[in-house]
Amino acid sequence: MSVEASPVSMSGSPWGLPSPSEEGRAFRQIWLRMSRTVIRQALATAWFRIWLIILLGGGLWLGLFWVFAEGFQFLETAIPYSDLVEQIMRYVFGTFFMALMLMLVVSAAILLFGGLFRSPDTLFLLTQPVRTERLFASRLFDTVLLSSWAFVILSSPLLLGFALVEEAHLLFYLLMLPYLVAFVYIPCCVGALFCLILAQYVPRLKSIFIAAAIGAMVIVGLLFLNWISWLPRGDAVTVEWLQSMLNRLNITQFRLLPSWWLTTGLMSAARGNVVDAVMFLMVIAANAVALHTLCVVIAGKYYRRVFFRLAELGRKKRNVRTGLIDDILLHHVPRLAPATRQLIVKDIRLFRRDPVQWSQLLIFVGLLVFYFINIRRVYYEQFYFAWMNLVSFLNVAVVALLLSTFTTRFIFPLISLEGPRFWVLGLMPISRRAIIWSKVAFALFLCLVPCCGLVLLSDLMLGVDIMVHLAHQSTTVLCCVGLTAIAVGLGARYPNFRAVSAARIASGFGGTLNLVISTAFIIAVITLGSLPAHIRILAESPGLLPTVTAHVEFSPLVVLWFKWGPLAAIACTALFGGVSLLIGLRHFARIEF
Amino acid sequence: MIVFSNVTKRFGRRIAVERLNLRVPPGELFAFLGPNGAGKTTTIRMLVGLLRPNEGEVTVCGFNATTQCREAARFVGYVPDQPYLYDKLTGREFLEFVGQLRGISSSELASRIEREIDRFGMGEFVDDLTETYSHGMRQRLVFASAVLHDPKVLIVDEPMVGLDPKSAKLVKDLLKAKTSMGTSVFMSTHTLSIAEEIADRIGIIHKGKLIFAGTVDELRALRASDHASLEEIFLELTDEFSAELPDGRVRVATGAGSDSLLQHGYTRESNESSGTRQSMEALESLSENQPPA
Repeated sequence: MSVEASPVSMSGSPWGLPSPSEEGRAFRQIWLRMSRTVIRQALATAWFRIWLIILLGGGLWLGLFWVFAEGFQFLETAIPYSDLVEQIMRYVFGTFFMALMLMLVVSAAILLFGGLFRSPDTLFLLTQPVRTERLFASRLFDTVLLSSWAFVILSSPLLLGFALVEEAHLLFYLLMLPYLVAFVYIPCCVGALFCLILAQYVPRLKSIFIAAAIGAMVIVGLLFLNWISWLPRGDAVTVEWLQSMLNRLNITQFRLLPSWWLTTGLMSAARGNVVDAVMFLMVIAANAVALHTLCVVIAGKYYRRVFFRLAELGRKKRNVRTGLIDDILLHHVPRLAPATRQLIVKDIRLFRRDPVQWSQLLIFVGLLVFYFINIRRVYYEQFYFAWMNLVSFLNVAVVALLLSTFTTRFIFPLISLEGPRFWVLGLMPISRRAIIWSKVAFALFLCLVPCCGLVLLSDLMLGVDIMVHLAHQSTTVLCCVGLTAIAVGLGARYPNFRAVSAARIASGFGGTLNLVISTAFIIAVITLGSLPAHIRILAESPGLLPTVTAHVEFSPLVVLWFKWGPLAAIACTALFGGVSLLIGLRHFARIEF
Repeated sequence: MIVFSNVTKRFGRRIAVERLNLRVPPGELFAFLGPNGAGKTTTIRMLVGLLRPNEGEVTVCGFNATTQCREAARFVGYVPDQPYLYDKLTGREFLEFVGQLRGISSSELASRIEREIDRFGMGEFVDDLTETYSHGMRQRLVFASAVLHDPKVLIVDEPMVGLDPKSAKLVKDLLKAKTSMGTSVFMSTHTLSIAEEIADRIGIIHKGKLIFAGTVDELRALRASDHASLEEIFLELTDEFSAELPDGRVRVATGAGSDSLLQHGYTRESNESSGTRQSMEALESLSENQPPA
């Protein structure tokens, strides 16, 4: 049956639809209003977090700036040929910006996918008489904004370090920010186009093709990295080695790459070459505008179509099975209270079925595994035995610091996330204390194996002494125990039962405090538990580090640290973890839901 | 007005809405009933341009809701079951934003916002951030934003869930007032008593098929002899496997008014052995041939 009806006259309403500029003004206005509110709220309630971000971010920025400036200074003094120095700097810039450009393409595609197809805000706007182009442009702007601040923060220490050492022309400082902002638009627009294409075609493909494509991309990427980083043994830091290295990076000097335009333009600006500097800025800006326009036009035509296509796919039913670990925990672990057992299994199941959680752990472990496997390419032992020790020691610190971000992001919010479901737990014959302990057990189960495995891999690849192995493993265990206890304890002390997003819970006051205390704890435990072993190794290898050796031999304080350091690390873990848990247990027992 | 012409919506192999023909004229409050998963929300999402039908077309005031979504949206006020509000805006700022998107001039917008604040009693909280609102407050703000531009079509998905009696009364009065002013109201609900109280017509959707469309009286007429409640009739219509009586007889679920039933040769009770399944098949064919209201 078909029912015909004639359109209502558009002049039937006393007003017409807003013009594009009026629509744009409305979007800008709410964006400004919301930003103002967020800043005002942050200043009023999250001063601790803001200061911490400024302090840590500023420290990181200064550190990077110092490293880059020192690096450029080294190049200037160590290489007598100015042409070669400039060539190296071009390659450094080219590689840096090309890598960031590729990362921006991927991150923009991911961010835009969420913004265009999954955001409740977008669903709301799609039901309003909003131009599709406007909606897409606003999402693209959000993405550019999110990407550009990180890009500017990462790029600025490199560029300013270069400018300081090269005594760059004033033009460089004037054009640096416009260059970076215009540049960031290009990969974001490319990412946006990728996003639309992928959303249109990929969901229809069979999973096997998608898996094969991703697998092929990963393999090609790894092969490329392997090819780039391969160094012939024994001929390091020679002219041939340097030339071979630069040849491998020739791809970054391809003239049609925006990263090359950026590099060339900025280097021209540093030399005070106004014509070239402005010309390359115009090239980048023109490409950015053209790509932005292209994206908006394409989106105006296809976005809704892609949106519909995705919306009608429906959800696949997932076969949920009981895992082997569930079975072991439920039936084969002695001396565990049945209720605690059930709670741990519940948390494991939730973790396993939430890709956001396990994928982050996987990325964290995967990247470190990749780094540790490739660690021997640098041949530390060939240059300096002490470096090998230092790197192995730093690797333990890296694992612990990454673990602390993981516990802050995923373990700290565990108690808060129980809030909406507390009617289930609250009615069960189980004490609140048992809930906390179950979280500790779950978190430990999650952290211990990957962390100890990573540290073992790093130490095996570096071929460290058995004593260092033992020191590192015990330090890692202490870090896991302490960090999980701190995260669960503070999570129970500062719960946020209103927030449904773990990310939001982690970014609150409690989460920030957790990160700070975790960092302090890591520094304390590693300094007390792991460092003495390294110093002992160095002390027993005369001639490697004479100053340290001398220091170890003569200072009674260092001898004391040597003897009691590991015990102090255990005490430190008990103190940090125990106090956090105690505070959390007390508060959680009194809390009213 | 709202017109569904032979609308079918599939998600993969699953058919969510099948050959839906329906027309809601101006000034009518149409209540859309059905069990969970029957296809109510899918129907509404097609109406507001969030889904496109695989077959047929949905028009709002003569504009295709899929291909002319912007024009169609201009005449629509939509209250979703889980409304979205910008947490970091106040209620007033949200209303201003919605008004601007609809092209209302600033002077007109200010007076309309005051009108809605007054109508929904939002004076005490409209200048607070929406993140501090209770469910009732949020629902009132969403209703205010949906009627700010005096839409010709008002689409409301589960409006009474979580509302206190005062807010519920407010919403019911609003819907009645809008209908009397010539607005077409399309309301999806599970609350049969609300539908009974305020709807001009009701439609019952089951497994994607419209199995009944008519007035409450027409629906009651199906079971006039034993004074069954609306709830009982609804359950019978939508529960194909519970319709078997202890004595082996089968109650035939019916719809579209008793006249239609008689035309199709159905009785309210049947001794047919194949029972319920046949009756549902008959119902399916009935809904396919059902004329518009």
